[in-house]
Amino acid sequence: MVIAICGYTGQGVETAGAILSEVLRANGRRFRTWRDFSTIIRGGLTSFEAYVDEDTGGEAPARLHAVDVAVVWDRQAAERYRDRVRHVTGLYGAATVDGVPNANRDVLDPVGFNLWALGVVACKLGLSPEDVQAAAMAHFHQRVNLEPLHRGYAKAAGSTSSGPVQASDAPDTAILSGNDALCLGAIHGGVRIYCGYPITPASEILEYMAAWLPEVGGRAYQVEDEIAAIHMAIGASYAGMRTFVATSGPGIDLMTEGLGYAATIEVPLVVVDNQRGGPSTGMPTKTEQSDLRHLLYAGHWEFPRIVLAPTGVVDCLAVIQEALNLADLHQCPVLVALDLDLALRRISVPWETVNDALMRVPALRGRTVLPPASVHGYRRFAAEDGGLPWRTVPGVRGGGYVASGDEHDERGWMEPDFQSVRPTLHRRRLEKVHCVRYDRPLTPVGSPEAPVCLVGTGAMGELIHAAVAAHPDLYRGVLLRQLWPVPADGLLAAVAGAREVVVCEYNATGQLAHLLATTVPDGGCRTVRRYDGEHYTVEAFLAALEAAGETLHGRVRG
Amino acid sequence: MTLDLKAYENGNRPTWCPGCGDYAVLKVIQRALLELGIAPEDVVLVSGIGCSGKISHYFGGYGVHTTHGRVLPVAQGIAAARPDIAVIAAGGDGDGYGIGVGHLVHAVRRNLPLTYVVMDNGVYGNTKGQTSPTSPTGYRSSTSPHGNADEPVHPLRLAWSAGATFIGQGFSGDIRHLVELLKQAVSHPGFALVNVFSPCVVFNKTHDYAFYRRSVFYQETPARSSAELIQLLETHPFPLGVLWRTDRPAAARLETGPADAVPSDCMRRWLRGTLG
Repeated sequence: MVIAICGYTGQGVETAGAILSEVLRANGRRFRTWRDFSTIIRGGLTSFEAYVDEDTGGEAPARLHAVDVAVVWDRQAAERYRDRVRHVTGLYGAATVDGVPNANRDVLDPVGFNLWALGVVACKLGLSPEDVQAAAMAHFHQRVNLEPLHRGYAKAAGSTSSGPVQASDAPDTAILSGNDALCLGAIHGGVRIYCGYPITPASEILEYMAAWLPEVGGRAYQVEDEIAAIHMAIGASYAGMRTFVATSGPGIDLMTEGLGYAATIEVPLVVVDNQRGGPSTGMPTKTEQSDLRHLLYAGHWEFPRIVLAPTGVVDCLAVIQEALNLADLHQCPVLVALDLDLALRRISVPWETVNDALMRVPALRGRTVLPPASVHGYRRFAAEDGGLPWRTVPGVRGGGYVASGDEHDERGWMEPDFQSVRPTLHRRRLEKVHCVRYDRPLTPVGSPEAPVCLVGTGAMGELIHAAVAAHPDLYRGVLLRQLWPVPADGLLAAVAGAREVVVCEYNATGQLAHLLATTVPDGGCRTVRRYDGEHYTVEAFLAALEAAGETLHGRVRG
Repeated sequence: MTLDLKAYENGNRPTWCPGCGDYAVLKVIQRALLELGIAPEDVVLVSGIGCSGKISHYFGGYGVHTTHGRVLPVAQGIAAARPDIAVIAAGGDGDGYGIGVGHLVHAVRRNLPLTYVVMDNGVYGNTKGQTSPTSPTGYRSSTSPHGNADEPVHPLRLAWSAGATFIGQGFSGDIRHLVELLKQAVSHPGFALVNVFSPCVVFNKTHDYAFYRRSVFYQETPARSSAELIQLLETHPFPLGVLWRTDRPAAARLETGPADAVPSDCMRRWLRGTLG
């Protein structure tokens, strides 16, 4: 069953969603949620949608267009859901809203709307009023008027109902967003220090780290800007502690200064970009995948980097740990491309799944020398065996060196003989990502016989899964996890035999398609692109795929 | 192993101009650390961009030569991550009071334990003598040919207004005084700003050694109140010594080292407590 609550920003729609999620989790129901909110501080529309799986079995699907129950505050909200409810009797709302069936209307106060809506959807989902009441009381620390909640229940119970759903044997589940998963993975991967500056949609990462790190002996610092954040992270990483920074497009612009520095002093650095609509301040609360080119090329001159992208919420648990490992193994920046949709959506996941994903990635520190070790005749940037140099951290006896952003010799001393260090040290630095050994650079989906291959990253992952599930004879998929260096061999194998390759992305110019154009046979592929800030529903995605198949409009030349 | 000054050198020869005040600052840092008995490899000397920024290239322990203006963020990252390591940040007035001044205010507020030595010569020496944030009003240079129109930055007042817990000022022309000052700064449990008049003998012809010898005033004890500090700075534009000291608690740092890991079952129990 799919439910939706839509009111204006400041009305507590997200709060109702959080309480509902908690009750669903406690009842062992599988679900996933979407949060859609406005950039307007007060008065814009905020939606909470949840897909609730009745037979607790398979994976929760991607967002669906069709909604079973939508509870709306005003006419604007009603407009948004009128075409999406399966039947008009699924529309509930305030007495003042036209088009809502009389039996589904109630005289409502703006303040109590969220609890009334919670009562309606909880009743429709077969949740017991006692459970919901207890969760609401806990959320508001016992200080809440529950009258609207009871009225909402009564309203929904009066109309046709699906009847109470049997609570299943509650599996041990967690409620996880992409941001949650990223933080858990990072802490599991050894991150104990975090520096950040608030920015939508990455603020939660700073908030979670501030709450959680002290419990494991770590610390989070809210700093003055993203320039400070990335340089503090470089300092902490230089000193041997694992860390990462997370931000969104405008913050990535500022952090760019630190990328080249970290690459030059060969210090591990993980940077997460929760992409939102750009350019400039752009659409802060809307999703996009339009920073890819920046992540690939940001910074002056040439330096090595690795760019990764998770394929779903659970994958965030692994990707951040893999990024930390690759940064240590290659002593270079590793950028992780997330998107707002993936960062903010919440799903219920069995703890067993969370645990498995966390445990799958062992921490690898590469050639890092930690105290109390000591070294002799040490030259920081020398790599005699053709591999990477050893990296000491402060406290290691005999390990002193200079970490300079100026071009330097093997000791780190500036003003070297450039004729001698550029063809040697500089080339070694540039070429060290030529042989990135990443366990899973991509995830194939579906049958290799299917003629049309869909390629995407991040939030596109579950849509591609849904399309392949809907038309297994037509579509197969490739979810890219390593974007740079392009995993050419794996990609070629995955698209082999395809009549057509369709690259799916949330941007206007087909950035991923351009990146892949030199690898994919025939020098190009069709694209499906969206850049209005909304994420696709499964139905809209399937329609877009069909349209792309019929037109040459989306063709990208290699 | 007994330590000597040599342990704090790395064999790299400074390329500063003869007579540059920065030679004295390097010497002072090395001597203060030796006298405090802090081993060179337990120290990170973090520097910025400019003539003074090259100081980390001549230090026998760990040196970090950052990008322009980012000395304090990098130094704070190290200080936060490694409470077992002493961090000395060093740079010039352009680096610290120009491009990096925003970080100074917040580093002072945050109060992570580290010493920030600013080699203040009132000029951009490395790029051949342009006007800097501490050049006086009316100062003539290639970038202010008609005289500097701006009010100079007053670093000590700036640090005080941001909540500084340690403010000191020294002079490259008085090494003995500066060593004692630096030892106190390094021993301070929070953020310590040490502004050092470090003359550029090539480009700044007004603020040379002779000028400072005439102008400095030795303050024996820190000001006991804000009013006293402001009064001191009004009366004596170039006071030397520990001028301000309070005991506001330092920012919390990590309680875990780079080699420690949390056992996975602890992680699991903790996660369940956090996420339900």
